[in-house]
Amino acid sequence: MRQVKGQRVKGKSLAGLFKRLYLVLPFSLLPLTCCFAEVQITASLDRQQVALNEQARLSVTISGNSSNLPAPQLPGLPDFQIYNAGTSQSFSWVNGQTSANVTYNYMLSPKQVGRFTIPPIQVQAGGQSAATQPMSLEVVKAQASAAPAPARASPGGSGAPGIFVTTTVDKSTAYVGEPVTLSFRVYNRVPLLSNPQYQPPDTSGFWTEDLPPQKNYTASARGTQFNVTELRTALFPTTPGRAKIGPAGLRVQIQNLASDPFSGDLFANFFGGGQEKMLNTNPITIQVKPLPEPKPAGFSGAVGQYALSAGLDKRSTTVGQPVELSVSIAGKGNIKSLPDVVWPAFNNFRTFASNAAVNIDKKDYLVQGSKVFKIVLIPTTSGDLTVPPVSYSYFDPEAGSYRTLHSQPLSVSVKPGPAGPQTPGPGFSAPEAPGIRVLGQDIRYIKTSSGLRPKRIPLYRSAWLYILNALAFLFMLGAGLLQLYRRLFFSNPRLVRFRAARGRALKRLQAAEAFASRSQVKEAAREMGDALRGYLAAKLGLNDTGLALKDSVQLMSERKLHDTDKQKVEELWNTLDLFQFAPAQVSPEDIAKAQKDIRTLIDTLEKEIKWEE
Amino acid sequence: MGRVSRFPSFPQVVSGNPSNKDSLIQGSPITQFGDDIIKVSFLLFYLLLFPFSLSFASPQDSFDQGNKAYAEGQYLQAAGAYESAATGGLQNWVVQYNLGNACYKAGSLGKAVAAYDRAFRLNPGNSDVVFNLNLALTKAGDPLLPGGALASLCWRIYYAVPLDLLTLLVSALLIVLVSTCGLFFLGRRTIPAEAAFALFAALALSGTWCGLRIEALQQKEAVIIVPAAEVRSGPNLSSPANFNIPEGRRVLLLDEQEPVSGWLEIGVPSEGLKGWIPDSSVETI
Repeated sequence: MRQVKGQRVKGKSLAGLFKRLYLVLPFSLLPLTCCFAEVQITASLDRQQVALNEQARLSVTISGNSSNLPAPQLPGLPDFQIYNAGTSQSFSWVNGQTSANVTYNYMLSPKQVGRFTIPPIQVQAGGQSAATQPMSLEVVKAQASAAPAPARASPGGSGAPGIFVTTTVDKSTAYVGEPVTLSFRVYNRVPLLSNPQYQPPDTSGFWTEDLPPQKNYTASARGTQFNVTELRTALFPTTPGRAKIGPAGLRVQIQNLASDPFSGDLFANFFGGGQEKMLNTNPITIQVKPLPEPKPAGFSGAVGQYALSAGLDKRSTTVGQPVELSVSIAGKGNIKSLPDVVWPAFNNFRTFASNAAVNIDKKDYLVQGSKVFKIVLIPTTSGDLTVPPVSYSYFDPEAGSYRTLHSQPLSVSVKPGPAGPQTPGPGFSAPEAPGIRVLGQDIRYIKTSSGLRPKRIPLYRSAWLYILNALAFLFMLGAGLLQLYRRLFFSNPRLVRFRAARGRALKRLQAAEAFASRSQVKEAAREMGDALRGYLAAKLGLNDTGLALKDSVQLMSERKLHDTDKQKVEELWNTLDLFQFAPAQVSPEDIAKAQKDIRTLIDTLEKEIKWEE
Repeated sequence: MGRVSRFPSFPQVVSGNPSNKDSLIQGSPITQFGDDIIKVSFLLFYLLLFPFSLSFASPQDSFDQGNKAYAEGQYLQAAGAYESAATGGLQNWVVQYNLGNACYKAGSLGKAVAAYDRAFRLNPGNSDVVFNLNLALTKAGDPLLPGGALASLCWRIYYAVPLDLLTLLVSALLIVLVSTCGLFFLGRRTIPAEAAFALFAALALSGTWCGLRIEALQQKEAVIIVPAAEVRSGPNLSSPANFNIPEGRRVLLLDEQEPVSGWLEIGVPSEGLKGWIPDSSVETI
């Protein structure tokens, strides 16, 4: 294994100096790590040479004194296919200082032969970056058996289709959690006009893991040689019963079957166009068996073949200073979904668990790897303390039985701590005793409330709220308009008088009617006269005291009112004068007629006399 | 599944448009989608399988089953049950909070952040929701709570008042102020000018507060659910990757351009970055 590491430097100028120093040394053999401030990045390849059909593991480790380390930024590697192979992380506390390591694993699958340089891998920290030095990797030819050879065949030329797809599984019966390998193969011997589009099958009821890389080889099928591209996926059934794998699809664009791609007729090939086809496989049903009963105590669902190892990061410590117990479950199976270790009771220790780190390897198309569970133990007493063994049960589908793994008891020598307050690690600033000590941070527990109700519509979307507010605004608007109207209207007394003329005249006519009903002809005539004069004065903009008939008629002429109206005014004016000065000759009918005429006249003039400033 | 990805290249026979060579050189899309497949399978595991198996259970039953599975350490099953409760109509912050817990324990930081964020939107005043969301976001490198005691206190006060109560306050202030204006127009001076000014200031303050809270709710956000997702300059695999973004980071969904099937345009305002990402790499909130 080749490991490239670098020196801890501060600032970009020093980093540049070291980069220049490294230039005089072989890239492939020297430490090539740079760091910035408190973050360090290290990259390594597990081999210097890789065959075309093999993979190289690239491990990028970022370390620093923070538990929140950034992820590396991989450069573009067009000559390789890159697969994520999991991460692992570890934290440690030494003398109150935190240090953390996160390793990102990638599988590099080369696409072509040659010697390639992996550019610097960067990491961003606090707005600045650190990078590794370049690494080189040589890619050599693959084994002859794996090298595909392009087949030159005509679609449908031998009676077999030019391209078809299949899916197969390595077993049709499996236990819950037992891996089933699904292989999707494309048999092809025709030119393709574009990259096909793969539609994975519906794998509801399975936990799936892809198994890179794709395999390319030649094989004989239906009496014809085909180029085969194969994709594998590991399926882990999750529930017993009949589990169905849906059809997988491949959308391809091939040359039009009407033209012969090998005829040498360039025009036919060029203008023949493409034909899009959707190729589908048949669905597959897997019989999933439940795990046998009875299950051993402590079994919580792990299926596969595993081994257990446990260890402490140190064998001696002092009271209040933590030691870390790591338990690794390694083997073949669904590593990601391995249930947590059930920790035994740790007497004489305070504990807090941290997240498990998963490291997955898919070598030889098998999902394998390890899951490392860690727990921090803080001794509360001195002496030679024993860390009890850890047990882990799993079901081995090959043996068809349950197995329980046990670790060995571990001992740790604990010295008495100093007399003063202890600081067991970051976030442990509280005194050792008797106060409260924070031992770690985990998410807060779920809520188990019953009778939950769906969230109702938020108030800001409630129509009632908008209506209520709109009503308030309408009230304000109405009040404002009313105020505006009042201000505009009452600021012009002549206009007020003009608008109120009819109303006032009608009131006087009513008063006249009352006088008439009491046979007070003179008073009735006076009221009618005032009504007529007052109306004309208000409408024509004259002073109603001492208004003369002549003036009224003259103004009516100036306003170009009808002659009939003027005549009517004159007639009524004279009639009312007669009523006032010779009341004895006036009958109630005469008064009623005069009143009616005045009303008619007012209604007529109301339409004809317009407001003029 | 319905998800369509490009199949790995065929090195042996490819003809036609020379531009196809570019796509071959770019390598197998499985490289980019490898993680997506795992994540999608994870999604399927509890979005399709469990809702199906629990389709006959009421949302409350699903919720109770989720609690039972969580207590037994069966976090994936718990997540499926909570998801079933949510899709069954139980849109309650408790369901989303528990779903976030189950996803967090199952190791899916991105989905945990998405669920916690939904719980936070429904009930931002709950201290447990804030704690867990902050813890998950801190792991993703984007802490929820601002640094510093004063800033943190201000943040907590900002979210302490329930949005409904804030809306009610704004509405009441608005109605009182508008009615006072109306009465003033009618010639009835009900309150002194100083009180009216104070009322207006209170309305402006609470209205801005409420508006910002509502605007934050309306923002289209998503959470990265795959490790170190690559964000590209265009909506296709041949576009170069501009930057990568860790799982659990919240991003803005941009709608500046026409939607492209299978891709989303995202922005990271704090870094001033934006680009395109496969929609399978994010979960919208």
